[in-house]
Parts: sequence; structure tokens; C-alpha cells
Amino acid sequence: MGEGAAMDGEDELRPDLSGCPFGCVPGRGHLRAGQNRAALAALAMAPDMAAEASPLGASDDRRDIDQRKPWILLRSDPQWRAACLARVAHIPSGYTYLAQLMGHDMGSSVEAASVPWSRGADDEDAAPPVRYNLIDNPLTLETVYGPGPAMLAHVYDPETWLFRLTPGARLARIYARGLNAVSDPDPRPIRALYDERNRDSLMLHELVVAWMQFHNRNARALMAEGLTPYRAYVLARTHAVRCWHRIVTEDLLPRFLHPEIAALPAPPRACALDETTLLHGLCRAFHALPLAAYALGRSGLHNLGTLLKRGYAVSEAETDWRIDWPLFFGARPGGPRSGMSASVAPELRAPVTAAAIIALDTQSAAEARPLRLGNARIGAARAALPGDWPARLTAARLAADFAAAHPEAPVALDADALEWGPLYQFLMAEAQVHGQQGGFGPLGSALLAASVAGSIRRVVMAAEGPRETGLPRPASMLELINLVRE
Amino acid sequence: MTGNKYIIIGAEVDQAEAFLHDDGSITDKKGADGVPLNVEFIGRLMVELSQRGKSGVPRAELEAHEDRVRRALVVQDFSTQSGGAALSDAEREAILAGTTVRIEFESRRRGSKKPDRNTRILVVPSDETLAITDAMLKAQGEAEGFRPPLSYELDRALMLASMKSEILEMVREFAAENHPDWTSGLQAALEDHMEKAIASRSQFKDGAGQPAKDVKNEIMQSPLRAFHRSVGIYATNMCR
Repeated sequence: MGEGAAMDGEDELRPDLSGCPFGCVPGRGHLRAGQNRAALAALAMAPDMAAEASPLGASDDRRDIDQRKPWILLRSDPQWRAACLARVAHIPSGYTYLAQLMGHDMGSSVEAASVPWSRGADDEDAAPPVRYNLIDNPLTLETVYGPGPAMLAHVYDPETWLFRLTPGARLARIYARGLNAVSDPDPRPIRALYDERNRDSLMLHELVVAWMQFHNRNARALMAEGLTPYRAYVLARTHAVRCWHRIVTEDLLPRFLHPEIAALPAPPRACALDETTLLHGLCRAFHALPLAAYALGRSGLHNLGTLLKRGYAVSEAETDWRIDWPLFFGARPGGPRSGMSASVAPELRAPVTAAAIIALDTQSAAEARPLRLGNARIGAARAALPGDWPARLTAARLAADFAAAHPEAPVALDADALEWGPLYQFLMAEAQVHGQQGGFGPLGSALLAASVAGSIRRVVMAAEGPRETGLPRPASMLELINLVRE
Repeated sequence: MTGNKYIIIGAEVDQAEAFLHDDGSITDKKGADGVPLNVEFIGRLMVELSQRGKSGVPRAELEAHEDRVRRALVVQDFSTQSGGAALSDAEREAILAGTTVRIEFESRRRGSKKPDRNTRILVVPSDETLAITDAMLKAQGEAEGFRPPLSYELDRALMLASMKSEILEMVREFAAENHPDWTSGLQAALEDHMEKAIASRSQFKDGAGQPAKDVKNEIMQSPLRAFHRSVGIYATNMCR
């Protein structure tokens, strides 16, 4: 029986295919094929920014072995969730949504058959991919900028090339139809955002707008020096991407990396995954992070469901509530915290809500056929880990360690489920047993660090010039938010 | 001072920014004896004052109540709708510091031979207080199914909980349609799911998904406190 048949034929998974409310899987269509980007090297604008080929979007070569379901995630109960959080909730919740932004900037995975796309001239004979990445250029803030002012008149002012945003505003502008007789009768408002996924929660929406504000602030400063709107846009955008890479590597990743991996001079290259595998195999593990509810500070306590986007109308969350970012990023005590574990918020599971995120993750992972622990490619990544970790992170050993550490787990994890279930399940269980301060275990950390480092290495951009040296360089997301809200 | 669009409203039950203590002081810390100054406080006060009537409330006491109600107010800006910048904390505080609250009593004179004489006081909010929502809803045009104006997250949970039996009745009606593939087992599972789903959505949770120790859950259990909250909202939030 093939994977698809196995997924369809079983009982309680009936995912809501209208899409992940966290934006991980778009509702319609459903990763850009691993592109050969070697040609890009020729376009490198600075010798120190030479591009390299993306790792191939390696597909599961053991499709004869059915995908096992992540029952520990699907059947976790409130007691298990509470026990997990009591153990791992050390990471301020702002990083949950900063990680989501990174995921969105890594990719938007859709079925390759759902969108026409063009393969490179040098890979015309390659086997057609199953998934396609709608984000063309991972980790370039494409999720915020899209293709830029010339092609997105509703997001950018065509005169100034600035984002259509009021200085100080925390959410994107809304354009509604006018009240005159000739206006379009469609009552649905339009938001000046490129990637609608970034409106998935109030938290993510505010983070994205902070980046838009950061761009506008810098572009205005450059125009004040006499630069044209076009030139100011180009320099401000490149500067934003540099700051983004700094915040990802110096603010976000350290929260999630195991100390032994963080201490390496560089993560093992064998651990670098292509964006498709990263999204379906690792990023789904971030679904351990959302909490069932958030105390927003001044705006009170709210269930996660009411903070998520529902439809296109202006929500109560958008009109009435705001995120207390110093609280959310741990600068002030008492804020919400979370961590990686082998559990997810009840809101992400069937059957309490129709969202059934894990079911959707599992199905999309089965369709995308990303690598699993049992694949030789992941085995090679594990073998590259330092110390005795390669031996400690076999499926059998982790299953035994997990059982010994967590006899109260609602589902017994066996080696087979870890070996041939989705990779993210293994990484969540690994984090539960070996993670420190809420972060990933060694394998998850090495895969994350090496893959992100690879994506950043592949970004081609102009060398920094004298104009940008005067622009602010926030070292953390909170610093950036504070800067744009001064 | 500001060109922002904003309104001044009673604080929702879980968003009080000031607390009344046993010694009559008002601080921003709840402490052991702090009573949150919010719409529930305002509503409870209105109920009490209404019962005592104007003649039963000395002027000095009324002024103390006015100050407490003032501290139960918060500033909400409409930057989302206007596209403008959000008010800073300092701007909010300055607005509240410059706000005066006046409590008025309506009157009823009962006539033994003539008809009763009543005074109803309609409070017309200042500036753009109503205009913002009015414009927003005009722009929205016609819609089928929308959040009832002047209702909030807690109202939705209260309504959903109150409609549980009706929703389950709807689900049971489906059984009567006798669809050929439908089984009593599926029907029971669906009813069980709906019951759990309504219960889950009618409860405010902590981060781990357990029932939160939160005033909103207390209100969910108390029709009287829900009434006080509603009175407080209609007294101060009719503009939202």
C-alpha cells in the first residue's frame, strides 16, 4: 500500500485542507522544486557573497515503507501537554512567532501540480518534483517584500517606493471600498501585506509590520540624504536582509540550539537540508510552541483561537488588542514561555478543532515525501554529530530513553514509529529527552543550524556600501521593534 | 494634543489598569485586597446607585465614585482602522488624566393622579467616538453573519455556552433525516464532538490548555456578574 492510500484509509485524520492557520501550508494548491541555483553564482554581485547550489530536494527513497503516523502528537492529552510545558517552557513566546516568520521566509510549499513553473535549463531531464516552493529566494525577507514595488502597487506607494504604512502603526493598512456610487461593491477589505500567511496571528502580523516599518525608516533616512526612491529602496532592502540574517543567527537560533551544537565552529555540512525537507521535516516541529492561550499584558488573556485570523474581516484581536513585546521576548518577567516537546497545543489537534494541524502536517509530509530518520541521507547527518550522539540518537535508543524518562506519555513511542514517522516527530521526541532550556536536541539543532546557514550562504546581495553604514543594526527582534516604535 | 482617533471606554474585566483597595486608595497593583476597576465594577456601582437614588447618595461620595469610574476607563485607539500610529503609553495616560467623569441620575416622579414623570438621559459621545465604528460598518456594507456590534470575545463565549442545547438540538435533527450511510454510532460521535467543541470554545484557558484562573471564567459562571459587566459596558462602551 502506498503512502497516500495509507493516509486516506485510516480513521481519525480528516484534515481541514483549507490550510494551516499558522500558514505553514497554504489552502489552495499546495515547494518549489530543489532548483539548481549554480547559475546564480554568475550573477553574484560581490565576490564575498558567492552563491552556491541549494542542496537537492532529496526525496524519500524508501517509499516502500509507509509513513507512520505521529500518534504521540495526535493523541496527546491535556495532562501530557501540561507535563511537557512544565519541563520545557523556557523560551519566551515571541520566538514562537519569530520562528514562524523564518519558516514563512523559507518557503511556501504547494503541490507542484497546482502551479505552472519553469525548471532550469540544466535540469530539464530531472524527475518532476512533488512540491514547489512559492518563495523563490529563501531568507531574503521575500515573505515581506514579495517581488517589490514595481509589481505590488497595493503594498508599496508607487511614488516613494515605501511600504504603504503610517509611521508607528503596528498593523498593515486596510483599504476598503469607498462610499461613492461607483465604487466596487466588494465589501472585503484589502490589507497592504504581500504574504497573507503573515496575518495568521496578531503576533506574526505585528512582527511583519515591524520589518516593514524598519525598511521605511531606513529608506526615508536615505532619501533625506538625496537618494532617489529606487536607490533608497534597494539599499534599505539589502540592509534589512543583513539585519534579518543577524537576528536569525544571533537572536533566534541560539534559543533553540543544543549547547554542544551551538559550540561547534560550524554545524556539520552533512546536516544541511534543502528548504523543502526543512519545512516538512523540521519546521513542523515548531508546532510544539504555540500555547493554548496568551496573556498579552494590558490586553488581557485570550485563547489562541481568537488570536488567529478567521476570514478577511477586521478581527477583535486586530482592533482591540496589542502584543506587549518586552513581555513576549522575555525582557520583562512574567511573560508567556514555551519550548520544544513531543506535544502540541490542543488547538492544533483533531478532533477538538477542525484545524487539525498535525493531521495536515502529516498528510503534506506524506505527499511531499521529505526525508525521514530511516533514510540514508538523515543517517549521514546523524553520523556527523559530535561525541557519542550518533549512537544515542538511533530510533531504538531514543525510543527506550523516551520510555524511561516519560512513562506517563499517552502513547508509547516505538523505534519503528520514530524511524519511519515524519522526521519532525523524531526531532520533537529528541528535544523532549535531550533538549536544553526548551530547545532542540543535537540532531534537530544541527539540521536547523546547518540548513539555515546554507540558506543564508546562498543569498546573493550587493556588498555593503558607505550609505548603509549609518543605518541602525538591531541585534534582536525586540530591539528592532523598539526602534521602529520610538 | 494628538490627532489620533481614539475612544475612552470601560476596561474589559481582564484588562483593568487600576485597583481599589480597602483603605480607599487606588493603585496599579492588585495586591491582596485590590478590586479591579473595570466594566464589572462600573456596572455593579450603577446597580447600587440606581437602587439608592440621587437623594441617597451624598455629593462627596458621588465624587469619590466618579473618580473611581474615571480610573476604570482606558483609552483605545483606532489605529487599525485609520491606518494611523498607535498612541504611546504617555499619550494614553495624559488623555485619561485630562478626562472628567460625571455620574447623572435619571429621575422618576410618580404621580398619584397624574401620569408618572420620567427623565431619560441620552449621553451623546464626544467627537468621533461613534463616527469611527459608524464609518467602518458603513464601509462593510451588507453582510451575512457578523460579529454583533457592541459585543466582545466574552460575549461570544457567553452566547455560545447559552446556545449549547440549541446547537445540539440541530445536530440531533440531522439524525431524523435518515441519510442512508449515517449510523447511530456516527451520530453519537458527532454529538459528543459538538459538546466538547462548544465546551472548549466556552472556556478561557491557560498556556497549557487547562482552565485559566481568570476573571472571564468567573464571569462565565455567574449570571449576576455577567449582568454587572453588561451594565458597565452599556454605560461606557456603547461607542465600540
